[in-house]
Amino acid sequence: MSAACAAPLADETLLAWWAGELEGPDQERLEEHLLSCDECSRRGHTLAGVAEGVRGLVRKGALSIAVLPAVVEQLQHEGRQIRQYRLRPGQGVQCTVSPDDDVVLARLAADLGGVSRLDVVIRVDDGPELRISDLPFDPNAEELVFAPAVDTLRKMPAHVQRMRLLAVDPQGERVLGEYTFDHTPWPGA
Amino acid sequence: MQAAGHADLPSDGDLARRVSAAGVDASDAEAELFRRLAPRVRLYGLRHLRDPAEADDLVQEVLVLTLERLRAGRVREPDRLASFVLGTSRLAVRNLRRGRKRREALLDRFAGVFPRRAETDLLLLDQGRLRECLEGLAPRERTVLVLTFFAEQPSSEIGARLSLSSENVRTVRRRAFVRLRDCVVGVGA
Repeated sequence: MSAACAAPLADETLLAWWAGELEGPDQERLEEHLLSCDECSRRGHTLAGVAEGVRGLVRKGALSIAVLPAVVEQLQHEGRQIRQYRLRPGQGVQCTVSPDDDVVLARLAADLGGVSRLDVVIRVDDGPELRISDLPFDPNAEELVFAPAVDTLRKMPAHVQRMRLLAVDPQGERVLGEYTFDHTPWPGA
Repeated sequence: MQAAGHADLPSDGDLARRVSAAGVDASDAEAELFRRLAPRVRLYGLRHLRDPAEADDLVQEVLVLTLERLRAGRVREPDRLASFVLGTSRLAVRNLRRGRKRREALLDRFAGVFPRRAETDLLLLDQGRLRECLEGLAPRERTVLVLTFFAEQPSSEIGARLSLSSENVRTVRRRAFVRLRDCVVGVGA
């Protein structure tokens, strides 16, 4: 049986604590509360479990996501095996994923200056187009870094994947670049 | 910020006083204190050490010291036990970090012989479910959670990268976390 908490911590406060954004007396008060309260401690454990789960998925390359430099730096710091393909607009590349790769990165060079919304349209061979809207990106970077889910990629036969980056604004949309990935499975895999 | 007591339950302070008064003869009070404090201290360890195995070491170290001090009647304010445990945890984290530096230096000497980082499953939720739930989030929400939990970026740095205010990032982060948590472990967990 657990004691009920008279003043449960807000999710935002717990997240700020976990992210290291609390300092001094605020941090001390919160930690003293967590060390005296079963209910808030249990919620903190759920947060810790979600955080650990997300970390595990990123390390395995299991998420299909737009990646920012801090994530790449952390992967490198942990010694993860990263396979990267850098393409300029209009370029294509022969690509694969080896059994030892943890993460694959598609680095799509594009002029992102003045772009307010960025979408990507993905098409595999002659299949339907998949559009992912409103990707997060660094407007000062000169590329979008995209990490496909590695386990999904490993299961795919040889194929050609086209990615089209689009800048979208109220006036319409314009193509920033098209990139072609000619994928061959790793021999024997 | 105090956790409320429960009418039928002795408070942490009550248990601490019983241990102080009876020493080794208060084994039931000690066991109950251990049951309550262990997960709370572990959460503190997870936050500050980011390593489940080290968090377990912290629990052992802090609770042994706490019970030893209680038995010896050397905790001056049993009603402020959380404050004592917090101070003890802080010192123990500092010691564990120093030990970690020594271990990392040793691992550097034997690079390639031992894996650089042990993966632990202690906190993992259902990874398949977590992945499905993450894929249900908007790309921006997913990226903010990855930057928070994997790259350990505070809201100010995420905001600087994505041209958002810290407040916006905190809002996106809270909304994304709550949606993810509710999807993985149920509403209000």
